[in-house]
Amino acid sequence: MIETYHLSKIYTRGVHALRDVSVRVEKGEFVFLTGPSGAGKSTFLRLLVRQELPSDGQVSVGGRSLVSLSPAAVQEYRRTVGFVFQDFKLVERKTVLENVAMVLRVMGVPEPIQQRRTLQVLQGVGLQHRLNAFPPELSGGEQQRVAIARALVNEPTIVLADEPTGNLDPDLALEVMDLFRAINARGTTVVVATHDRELIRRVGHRVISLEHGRLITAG
Amino acid sequence: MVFLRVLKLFLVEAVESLGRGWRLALPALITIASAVAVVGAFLTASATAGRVLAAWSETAELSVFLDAGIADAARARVEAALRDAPAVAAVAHVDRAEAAWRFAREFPDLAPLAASLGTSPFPASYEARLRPGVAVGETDALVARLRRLAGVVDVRYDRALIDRAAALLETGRRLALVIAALLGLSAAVVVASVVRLSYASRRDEVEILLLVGAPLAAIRGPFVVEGFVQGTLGALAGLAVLAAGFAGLRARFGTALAAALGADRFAFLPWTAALALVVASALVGALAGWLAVGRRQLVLRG
Repeated sequence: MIETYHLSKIYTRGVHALRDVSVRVEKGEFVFLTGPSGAGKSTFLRLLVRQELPSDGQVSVGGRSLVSLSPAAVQEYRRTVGFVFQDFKLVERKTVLENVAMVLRVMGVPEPIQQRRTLQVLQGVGLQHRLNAFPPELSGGEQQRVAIARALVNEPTIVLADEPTGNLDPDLALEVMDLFRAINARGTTVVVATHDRELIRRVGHRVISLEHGRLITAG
Repeated sequence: MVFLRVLKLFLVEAVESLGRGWRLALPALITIASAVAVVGAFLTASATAGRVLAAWSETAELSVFLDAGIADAARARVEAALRDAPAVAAVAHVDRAEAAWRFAREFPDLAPLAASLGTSPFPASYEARLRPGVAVGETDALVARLRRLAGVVDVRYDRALIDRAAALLETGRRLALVIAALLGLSAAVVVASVVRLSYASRRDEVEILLLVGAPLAAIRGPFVVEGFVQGTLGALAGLAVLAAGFAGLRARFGTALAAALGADRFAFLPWTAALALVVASALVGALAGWLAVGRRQLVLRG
């Protein structure tokens, strides 16, 4: 489903973020992307969500190359991908419900469907009782669950998470991982970038290791 | 339905954004209001001047001054030349006594001096009122023909003055157009800056919307509508200021202006012109919003 061929990314002043990375992630698979800080994990995810273009090589999802997509096609592709950030990226002036529904609102989805889908995903992450709370009123774990709900509300086929437990204590981190496992159990492909080896050991799944932008192991 | 839902969303987002950043939006609103008030004032003055000139044109007169010793036959030829001319609507004869009486009425201080001369020093004349819309060439030909007639000492024609005033008005209108364009441009720049600041304050939100695949038009929409709302509100404020100024001017100088320009010639901007100003301002605001958050910028950020 996700394939990269000799993927490289060089930033200005010659910084190599990724060097010749070729990996394959099957449809419905749960994969950890790991490595120390600066290994290229975030760059890899940004290339997968077409936030950046590779300097060399190819990246394709579902057999479609992401390199040659038009701006409109990029947006269309992103609707099939859910993205979860380490710092949650919630809009503080919007409630939990509005943060999650925002995605459907801008797409012109009718309000009753917005409501139903939003409530469903918030129920799925166990936040149905905090609908009208604002992000600063929530704990870190709750904020991350809102971010996960927002990533899921559009029913994506792939979920990408960049250090989703980086700001959480170990118990909350495991709770969030349970959510990802549940998402994966419904057939969604999940790629989680983390440097937390203990978490990977406890959750257990295929691991793609990067170091200094190079692929070390692909599981 | 989807379009209306999305439009409503844009409007709500835009109004909320203006509500949050009203301190930032205020300079833009003041700039737009000033621009609209200035352009509106120009249009009002121009329309008033146009009405006055049109009225003058309709009452344009030709005066044919006669020699003191003109023979009756010659005088009859002058009168016939005027009455037969298609450009002339009406002809009146002013004899020397009436000319003296008019002088005494217009310049009462000098009246005794004129009276001391015994006989009236003023020549008799024919006053011809011209038909409205007569071509300048036709009138010029008539003036030249009259000047050649025996017993005619001078022909005065105030059309030339009206034409010069019309040319001046046209220059003023062109100047106003340039000023309007400059003011519109400056208003657009200010609106674009405010929208850009609003965009900067919602950058995280925009980033999220980009990553979840929101259509680019849906991301830009609220910013375009924000510019549109600023343009509309600014124009309405400008027109309100202009209307207040006009009402004040009319209350203070209404009688004098009516006497000088004629009743009903000093009137406020027609509603069509006011509507055109609001629409133009709204469109300039929307364009500024659209340019402030460019598609290329979003694509690169994405």
